[in-house]
Amino acid sequence: MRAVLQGAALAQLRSAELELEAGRYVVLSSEADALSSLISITAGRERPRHGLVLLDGVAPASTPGARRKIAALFAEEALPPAPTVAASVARALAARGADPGSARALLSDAGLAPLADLPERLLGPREARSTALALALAHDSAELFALHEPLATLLASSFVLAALARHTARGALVLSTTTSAADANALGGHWLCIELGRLRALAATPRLGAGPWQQVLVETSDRRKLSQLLHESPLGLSTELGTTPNALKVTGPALDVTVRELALLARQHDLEIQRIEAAVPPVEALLAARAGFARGAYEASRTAALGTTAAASPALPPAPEQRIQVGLESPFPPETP
Amino acid sequence: MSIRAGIDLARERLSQRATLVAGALALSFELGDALLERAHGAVGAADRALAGGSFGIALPLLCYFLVARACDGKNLRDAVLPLARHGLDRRALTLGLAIPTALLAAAFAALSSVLVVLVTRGPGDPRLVPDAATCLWIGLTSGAAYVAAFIGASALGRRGQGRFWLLVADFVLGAGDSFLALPWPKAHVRNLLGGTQVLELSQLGALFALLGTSLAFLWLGTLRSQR
Repeated sequence: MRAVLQGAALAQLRSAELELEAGRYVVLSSEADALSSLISITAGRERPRHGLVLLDGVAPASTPGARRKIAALFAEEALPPAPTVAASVARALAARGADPGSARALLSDAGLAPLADLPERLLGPREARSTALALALAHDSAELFALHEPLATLLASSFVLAALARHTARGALVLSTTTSAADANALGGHWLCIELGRLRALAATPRLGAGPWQQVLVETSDRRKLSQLLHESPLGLSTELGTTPNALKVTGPALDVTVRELALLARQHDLEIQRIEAAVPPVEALLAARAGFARGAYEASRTAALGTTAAASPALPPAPEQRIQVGLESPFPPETP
Repeated sequence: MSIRAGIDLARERLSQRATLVAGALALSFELGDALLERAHGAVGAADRALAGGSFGIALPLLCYFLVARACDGKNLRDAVLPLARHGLDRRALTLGLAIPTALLAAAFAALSSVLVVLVTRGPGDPRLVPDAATCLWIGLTSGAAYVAAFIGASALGRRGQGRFWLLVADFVLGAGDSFLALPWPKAHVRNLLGGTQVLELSQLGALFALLGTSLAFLWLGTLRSQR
């Protein structure tokens, strides 16, 4: 599946420029309406007001065959009307061409068995979204998963992440949107960002700069040696000591780059990694990052106007396998004298 | 497959107590109006009750309600979304959605108009059977036509407000007999019942105009909501 969005706009989403191949992507933004619109147009729920959305060359909003290959979770969900939730799920499965008899098993697998016999119209928004997510994750022939806040439902995060990993492994394109940095960390994959209603993911877009939102907490048998190795790394990683004797806090250009480098160095130098996790950034750090986006643009244009590149931040080498990168500048660009 | 799924969708949404209550209210209003017209004067009571309370007020309001229920109070596109998102054709789903709604409205219009004729004319009136037979087919046609028009209009507006604007236009513009009344069902239903003619159309012309404009609304609505 190849998804192409060319200047696609709808409501608060002012413009989305994307070319996505199979893989896992997460769009992080504080603009919930824009995220919801992105999922709506990608899944073919609505046509974009401007621009194009093409999945393998066809518009999903006007092609039933393309929608059959999409599993979606919208901000507001409506299940097919039926006397019970199980009957509603069965109706959705029948529409998809799957076996309606597996509805109860599907709900049970997702931990939603208690909902099966409830009247469908009595479901609250969260329960309806949970059922819709269970339906989406069970779509084994889907080539595109377009999911809005997939970790904000009644389904266990471990179940959702395992299902997404399974679908990614079989070659599906998983596009998730969230307003939570912690959820984005958990969802993993390539990060994208919507800023002022605009989403742009091109190969030349800079990564999210180093900062507390790109920190990894690692516990190792020899943190001094690991720290030294990391400082020698060409990726510009920095370290500081953690609160426990084995802990080390590593800050890098992007989580995946940092973790890959950590794993590589540990293997090469026979260091044991006892624990590794992404540090959840505080809200203030994310707000600072947002402010830094505007500041970075200002600094870049000022530098260009002065005709000097000396003051500009050194560019980090992009990871070869990461095509889509996060569109934020460093939040704390160096002050120009 | 998609049409069948659309029929099931509408059946499920319409098989609620609110539909029964609305039908009972509409029937009570029609019969009450018929009794008042008969009390006012037996001559022309059937015509006044049919063109006024029955086909003029109760039927459009009930059809509006039924379509709003079938669409779950939403835009036509969103109304079929629970199944269209899984790969079913929106146009076929819309047609499926229209079928049970139109059948219900047509049955109600036919039955209620026969009862109105019975109340206004009385059992002994020699015109009872011919008038009832005429009302039967006019009721069947106009009920289905109103539903088709409202479903088509539901494609307009984020929450399907198009059907409300159609209802308003039908009441306001459809009451006349000029060119402005031509697109609205009320004007042609009145013509079929023997009332004033729009642009001096014959009854056959009014029948074709009623079906033509209503199906045009439905066609435009399905075009707008795409596949």
